[in-house]
Amino acid sequence: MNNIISHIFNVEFIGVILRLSTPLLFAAMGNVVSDRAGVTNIGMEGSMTLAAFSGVAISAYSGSAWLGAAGAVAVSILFSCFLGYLNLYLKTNIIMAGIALNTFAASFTVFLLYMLTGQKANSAALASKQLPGIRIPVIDKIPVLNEILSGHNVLVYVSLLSIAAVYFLLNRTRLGMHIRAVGENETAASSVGIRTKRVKMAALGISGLISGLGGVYMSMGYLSMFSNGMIAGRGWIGIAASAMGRAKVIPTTISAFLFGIFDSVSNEMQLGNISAELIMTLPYFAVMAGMIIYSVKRTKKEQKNA
Amino acid sequence: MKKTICMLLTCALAATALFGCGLKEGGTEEESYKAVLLVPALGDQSFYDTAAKGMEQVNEKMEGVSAKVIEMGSDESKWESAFMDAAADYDLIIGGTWQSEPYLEKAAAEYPDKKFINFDYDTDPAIENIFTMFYNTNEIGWLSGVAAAAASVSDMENANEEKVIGFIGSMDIPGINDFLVGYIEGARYVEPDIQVLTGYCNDFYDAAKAKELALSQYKSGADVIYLGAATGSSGIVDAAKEMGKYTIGVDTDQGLLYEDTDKEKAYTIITSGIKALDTSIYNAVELAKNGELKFGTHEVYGFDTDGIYLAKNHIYEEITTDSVKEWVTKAEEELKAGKITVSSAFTMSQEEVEALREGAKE
Amino acid sequence: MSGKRLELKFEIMKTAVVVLITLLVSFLVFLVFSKEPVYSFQLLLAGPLLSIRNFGNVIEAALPIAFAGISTSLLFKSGLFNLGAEGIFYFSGIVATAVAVQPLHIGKLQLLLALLAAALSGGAVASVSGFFKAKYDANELVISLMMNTILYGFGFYILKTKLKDLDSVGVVSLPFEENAKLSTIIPGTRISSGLIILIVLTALMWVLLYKTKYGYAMRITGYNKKFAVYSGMNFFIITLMVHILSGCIAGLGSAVEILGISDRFTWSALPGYGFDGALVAMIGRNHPIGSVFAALGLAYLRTGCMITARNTDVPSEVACIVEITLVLLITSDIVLRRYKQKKIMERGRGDE
Repeated sequence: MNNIISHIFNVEFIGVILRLSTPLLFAAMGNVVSDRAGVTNIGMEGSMTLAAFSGVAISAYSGSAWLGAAGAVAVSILFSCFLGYLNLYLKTNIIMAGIALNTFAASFTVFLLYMLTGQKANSAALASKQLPGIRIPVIDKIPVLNEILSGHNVLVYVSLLSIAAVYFLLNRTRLGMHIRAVGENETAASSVGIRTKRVKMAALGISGLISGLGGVYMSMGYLSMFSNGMIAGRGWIGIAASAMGRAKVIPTTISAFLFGIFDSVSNEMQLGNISAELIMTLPYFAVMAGMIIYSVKRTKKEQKNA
Repeated sequence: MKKTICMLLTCALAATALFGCGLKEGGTEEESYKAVLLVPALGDQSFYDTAAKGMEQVNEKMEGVSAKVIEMGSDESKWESAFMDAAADYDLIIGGTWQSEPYLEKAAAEYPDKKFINFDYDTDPAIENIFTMFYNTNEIGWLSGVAAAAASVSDMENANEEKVIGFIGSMDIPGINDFLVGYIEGARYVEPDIQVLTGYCNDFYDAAKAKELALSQYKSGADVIYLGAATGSSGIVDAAKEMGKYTIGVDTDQGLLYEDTDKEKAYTIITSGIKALDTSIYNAVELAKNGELKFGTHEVYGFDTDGIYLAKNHIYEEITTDSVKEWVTKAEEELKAGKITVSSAFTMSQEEVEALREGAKE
Repeated sequence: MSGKRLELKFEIMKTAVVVLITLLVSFLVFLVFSKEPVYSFQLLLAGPLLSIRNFGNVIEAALPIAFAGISTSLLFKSGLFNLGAEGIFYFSGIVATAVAVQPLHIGKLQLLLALLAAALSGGAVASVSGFFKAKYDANELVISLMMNTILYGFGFYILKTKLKDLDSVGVVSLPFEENAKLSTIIPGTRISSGLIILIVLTALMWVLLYKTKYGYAMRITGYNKKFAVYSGMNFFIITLMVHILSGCIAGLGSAVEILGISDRFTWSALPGYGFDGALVAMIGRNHPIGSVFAALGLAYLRTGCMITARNTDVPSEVACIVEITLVLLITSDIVLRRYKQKKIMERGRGDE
């Protein structure tokens, strides 16, 4: 038990949380953009999986990590736009299309993996590249801060930047304004001349970009290979975080970190005596509790104001 | 007009389908002894892949036998029909583990003239025409524990002062805990005061979670971790490379797996505890074809019968110190001579396993 | 021709065309990947019809998905987006197991008790998301997704510690008492009397939704929540009731599945029926009878895929690309849209 406490109440642990929350943040921010436009990117799990795989494959064959990352993001954008095409132009129900595409991505990546390496478990046979870690020049010298903030993989910092980027996009750019307009009232938006379909498509594309980075992080930053099923529900957590944060940047970020913190804690708790399955439920309880508390507060506030 | 064409096309397709009912089977030769292996899925790089390798070797080296591998998928409710179909079409039907046993039994009862093998099952077969084989997975764990503990207390390059090793499993189930129980006891054989940290991913594939657990264990002083997380184990190897520590593989020679693409990773894997599934399946098929396999009986392959062993590849030779090699040799001798009894999670209750596990963390 | 009949006619036609396109696509895929594409294709289409056992597989596979489908369709119809059937299936399964393994010596009553316990536990679990949605408008999607994992964790823990059969090597429960199992009604298959339960349930649900005022209230709430509230329907009660009812159905489905097919509880992971249920609910347009047929269709397709994958060199991932194509197309409204619009225009002009 002492072991666990010493791990958790240690500045290093903040580094662990940051590392673990990065994919969740990417997924959550990606969903904020699409949710705001009124389309939920249900296919997020699939786009992250495809991105994780593509990054590994492209970097292995091209020899460049950055090329791999770029290619992976492109794949993810295409995937999300395809979802958009299915929903907006072929009028497929977005939930179903998303779930179907997720299933497709899961099988397809295994299939490609098998074609390229002869195996279905992971890409150990491919010499894929990894994105580098970064030491921040000034902060690196500061004793405590450097443990927490410096030395992480470049994508960890990018995920933090994406919070600001999404905020900026939604609140300070024209496209962001259109996205919000379409999300709030589609008919009104189209009546003032906004091309709603294009806006939604753009939102999904951006969502694909951001979540693609999350997938790349999994296989090229956090781990150094692609493993079948490695996204393990992180896309869904992103969707849940955005739902909890009502697609607003700050609350969504908080939700994503809530899960990240509890997930990190639960990993540490495995050093102790409680059964692994019960520990596993901890972060989910945390999110559910957070959701309930938030809803209760909000309802009470509404009733007071009414 | 369009509608009519549509209707005609549908009818044509339907007709072809129905005609197909009477058509030929997929190509197998007439005269050969047909064996089939049914697995949930390939690609785990250890257990089922090794079994499949055995069937491959049958195809390559054995005369007059054709071997096929069928992936049934993870949905168990489909397995019964898979085994039934296989029993109808093949002479020798092979399945593995407690998961497939009920279906093997049903098929065996339905087709008394066909022969069946369960390549990884702990009990005597319930039906005459089944043959069951088992491996002492606890012995694999035991030998691995010896190697791990010996490495941890030795002067190997990345070993540390603390007497701590780790174990990360896929799920908290007897199949995995059997390795753990042996691991703990093997470690204690070398160093009675050693601490064994444990963690579970709660699934068979979350490599990122396995990595986090591994990092946590390494930070708590472990210098060797057991790769028990199935497909997720790649995360542990990642952590080992990052932190400059060691791991021990299982089921196949995992060191050789990484060698071509990432030497650093390969060199974290001191050794692997191998279950000779491929050779035992190969041998069983051969015996069955010649009518010499004793169906209705149960055989256990342990260290003494070379059913399991530690991989002593060139990585092992290079990175382990003499003290480690001596411990391993001594342990192997005693195990072979029957001087050691290793507990098994299959005969212990969940509470007993937990007690042993928690006791090792002190 | 009345509007409703026209709609139905189009749905059927569209389904036929979609099936056709899907078959063409899969045939092309087989041409590329298999050395015996025609045989693979025939297996895909007709495999399930080749033997009683194969067709039985279709029904067996469809059964749990149909229950999940009806459960989810109720929620969707009422405008609630809850995907909690997954966790309920697992947990209610554990509850049913707990009842079914006890040597109670009360004859067939034990079966009834197990089914009841499963249904009630499912309803109880669902009422959590129902309550918080009803009273505080908490996002039921998030809560239900979280509950899925939580229920799995607890359920598996209970299985491992309390219900596990010590003599058996794997993590499975003790065997069910004979009296707690559903009997097989069609010899040569594993189709249990659960089928009868399904048929009765479907009929009951149809009556509830379309012939009672409660069902009407549910549907209106689904169409337009504000309108429903203004008309005096009690959103709180409806939401809660719909959740509880759908939870009961899912729980019942779980019990039917395990007590009908197996001798003991063997799931060591979430079975996946929850998402399948959502899929068939949508394909079936959230109608109970539609969901059942969609479940049958999906099961047929999957069984065909499986037979193909098992008997030919087509890898299983590829064979099941079929399923995805079908799903995508069938929910798309664009197929035959022009044709449909033309017909609607004709009707509007009074041609009929």
